[in-house]
Amino acid sequence: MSFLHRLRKLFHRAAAETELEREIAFHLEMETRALERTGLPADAARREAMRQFGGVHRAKEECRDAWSIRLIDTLRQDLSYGWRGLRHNPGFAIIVILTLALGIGANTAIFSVVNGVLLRPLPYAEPERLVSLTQSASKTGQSSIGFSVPDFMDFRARNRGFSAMSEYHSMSFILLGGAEPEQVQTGVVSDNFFDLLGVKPILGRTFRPGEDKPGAEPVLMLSYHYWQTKLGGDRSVIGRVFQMNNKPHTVVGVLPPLPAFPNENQIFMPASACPFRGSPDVLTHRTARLLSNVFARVKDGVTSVQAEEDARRIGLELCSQYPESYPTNDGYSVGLSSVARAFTGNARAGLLLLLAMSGFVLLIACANVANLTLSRLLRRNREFAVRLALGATRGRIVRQLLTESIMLASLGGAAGLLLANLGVRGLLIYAHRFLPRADEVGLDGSVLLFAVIVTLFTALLFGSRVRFPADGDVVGALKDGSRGTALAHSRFRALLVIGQIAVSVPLLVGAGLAAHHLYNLQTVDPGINTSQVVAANIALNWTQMDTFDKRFAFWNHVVEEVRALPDVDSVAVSGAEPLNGLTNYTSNFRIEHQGSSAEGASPHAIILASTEDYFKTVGEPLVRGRYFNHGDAHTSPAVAIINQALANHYWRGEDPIGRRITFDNGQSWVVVVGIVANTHQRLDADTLDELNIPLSKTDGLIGATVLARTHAPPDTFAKVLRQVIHHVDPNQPITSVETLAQVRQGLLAPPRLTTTLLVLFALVALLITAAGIAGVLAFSVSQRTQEIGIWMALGATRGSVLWVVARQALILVGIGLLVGTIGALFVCRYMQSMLYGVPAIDMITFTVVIAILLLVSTLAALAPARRAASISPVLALRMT
Amino acid sequence: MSNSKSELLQGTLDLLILRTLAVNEAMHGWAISQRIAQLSRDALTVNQGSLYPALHRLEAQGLAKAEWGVSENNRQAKFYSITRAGRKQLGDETESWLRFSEAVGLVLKASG
Repeated sequence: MSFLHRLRKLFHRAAAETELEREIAFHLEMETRALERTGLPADAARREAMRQFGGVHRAKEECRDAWSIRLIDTLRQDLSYGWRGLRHNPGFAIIVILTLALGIGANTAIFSVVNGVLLRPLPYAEPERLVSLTQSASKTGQSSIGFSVPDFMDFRARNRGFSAMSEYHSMSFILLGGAEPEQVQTGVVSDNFFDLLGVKPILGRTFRPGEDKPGAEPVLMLSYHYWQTKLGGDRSVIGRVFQMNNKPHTVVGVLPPLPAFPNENQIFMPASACPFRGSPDVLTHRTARLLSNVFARVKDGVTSVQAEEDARRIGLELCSQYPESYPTNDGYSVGLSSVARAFTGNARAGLLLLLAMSGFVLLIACANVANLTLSRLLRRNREFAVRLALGATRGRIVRQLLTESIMLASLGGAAGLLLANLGVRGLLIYAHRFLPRADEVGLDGSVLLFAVIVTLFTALLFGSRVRFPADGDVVGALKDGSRGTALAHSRFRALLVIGQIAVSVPLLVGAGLAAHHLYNLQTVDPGINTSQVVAANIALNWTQMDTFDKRFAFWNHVVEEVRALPDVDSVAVSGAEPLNGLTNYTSNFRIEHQGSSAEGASPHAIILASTEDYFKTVGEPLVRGRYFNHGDAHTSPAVAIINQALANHYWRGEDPIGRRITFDNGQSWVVVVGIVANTHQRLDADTLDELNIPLSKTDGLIGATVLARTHAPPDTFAKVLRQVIHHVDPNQPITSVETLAQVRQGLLAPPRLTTTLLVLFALVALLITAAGIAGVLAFSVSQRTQEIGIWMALGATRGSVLWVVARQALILVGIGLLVGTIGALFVCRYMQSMLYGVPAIDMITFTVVIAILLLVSTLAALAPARRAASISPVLALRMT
Repeated sequence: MSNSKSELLQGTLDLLILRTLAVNEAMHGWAISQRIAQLSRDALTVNQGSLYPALHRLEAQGLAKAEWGVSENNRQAKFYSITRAGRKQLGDETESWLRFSEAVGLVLKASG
């Protein structure tokens, strides 16, 4: 009943107000009459009645308090007050909203990426129990040597800590039966792979037990993406038969949308369907480590430490049982890594850095808004004093101020969300290629929640420092604006500015370090010609190109055809794309007449295979000896060309030419015939030891890069190159054709994005901080106008007044810099592993950052300082 | 203001109003203020300004109800009367108030 009563009052405000008015008027009238009866004259009686009643306004206010469902009602009132206040002061509102929008927008955008990439749960059952096993040979720098089929069988049979285990590798096959022959990336897995992950098909079924056994009928599962884009989401696809590797394969199921893990597979097949996996060599040879991953689910009640111990035990057993098959001298070990962790990969550190930095921007923005709010508050002090005198309660005023803060923050948050949405879209267009799970990035519930929390947090942060004249001091406040509180506030505002500067330093340093890193990557001379060399990546059709002879003939044929083109200076085939994939394969070897070095690890190097003109084509100069030539055929004695780094490393002071090395412990020997100059195999690493072998001595390579050096414009030549390769054999798919300069640019994309964002954050921070400094100084000058006037009247020069103000700025900046530098050192340490060629404490960056901050704060101090210096002593003194 | 009069303790005004309403017909605000002053033999000053918030509070809590009516001098006035919930509240409050004042009295006498 009473609730209804309140509601009625709430909705019939106008009526309730008149009733209250009439009720009080009636009381006053009655009282006046009573007093008149005691003999007072009419107007004296009226005055006395008013006096006895006390504050009519306060009474009314308290009556209203009694009626309403306070929250809603005062909120409504506060909102309309707040709105009116902001409309009176649109400049303030716009600046605050913009500042907050930038801060909140940056945070929300970065958070939505972090959310999609790092935080969203993986679409697997109990993903925290999913692990990937690795075999590694750590002393040779190989973090993963893969698994052979016998390895996998033993791990699966002997383990006690895992409830399921599946092999995995990914290959590219030609799929026939669609509109046209198509290259499909295929995940090759055990029959229990999807059960292990806990993935249910959206159509059909997953693989059945036994479907990965030799002789089983080949079946396929389609990825959601492939089903949607290539088959138009056709629901009758189950049972459809495609030709692959000269065998019919039946589609049995369609997968739900899944992240591209561990590779971007378009379809999946059971292990037995892969012709490569099924070859007798692969099935029996313990060192044929074709399988790239083994996935497993840790048993319930088994800790990850116990599971890892279990896997290690099996590794040790295998080592002692088959010592010749495991590289025990090279630090062979078995390890477990969490699948969840594998997902985020390299993106994690960079994203967390960006999130932290955007958080800093928000902090700085909040400090500024707090500053603005405070100075507005001081200007409104008189207003508050009047309202207090008229009977407003302090709580009521605090609440109204808080409402205003929340209003501003909400508007800022809404604008920020808009900004974030645009930002994320822009970011994804650019970052899609190199961000894992980029498809899952977007503004979802948790992002919205994040934005709301950040918004409220900012509102509280800048709205909480509210002070007014104490009740007793209302009169003082009415008389003399704001003196006392202004002093207390100005100390707090100085602290805010120091905080802004302190937070700006790590931001600027972070941006500086990233920029320095990017600069290094951009300017590093890899030692090869990138502008005139066009690279075409080709993945051969495995079934057609099933022998060395066929593959080798194909590559030679391409080389001949391309060489015949008019604009070609030189052409070669390489096992990997320069700058991009050269470090993918490393191997151990032994040097004749040299024991293993003291640490017990055998020499190891990047192994590269190429045809004879490779070095000429990419412009890698020969130091000594000779290049590969026509005589280095499949059946000729094996030869190798090493780089200068390797020569210096293992033949200090000796001549390596003519010396022999072995990869198989002396069963066969390779003669060093040449030394080439050092070049960068990667942009972000110094030259590594490198050992080149002729393509003729490999297995013929199923995938390779055709490199052609041309004096024609590279863009037009790229088209010609594509046509020529297509002409040699149209069934061999070309995955990309680009110049090495373009390859290089592509590799720069991720660091460029990180740097751009960090620099953007730093600029925003700098701008906001400068505004903060200028604001505080301007306020302090306006507070000290009289004081400055007196100085000047006593003979202070303009210069000394300028200096007083500038000194104030410098003190703030100095303290801020000191605190900020400590924070920046942490940033340095965190970023160290992400940077190339940047020293641990980068003096260049620090110097530039400090210089920029000093310069900017001096500029920010300029306007207020000049205003101080132009104060007229006469006018200033008259103000008293 | 005179020092011989006692300021009202927080919360006691509600109690006095309920008490006044309990023994009378519906009354308007001014009459209530007069009655309280009269009953306490002018020993208690009711701040007239705080009488109305108290009345509105009681009304909102459902302890009193109000109706517009015609006053003795033929004017529109808002008349308050006690509700059943108000009577119950008055009973509880009176009891605890008496206990409280008795206790305070004991303490004061003992220490005096």
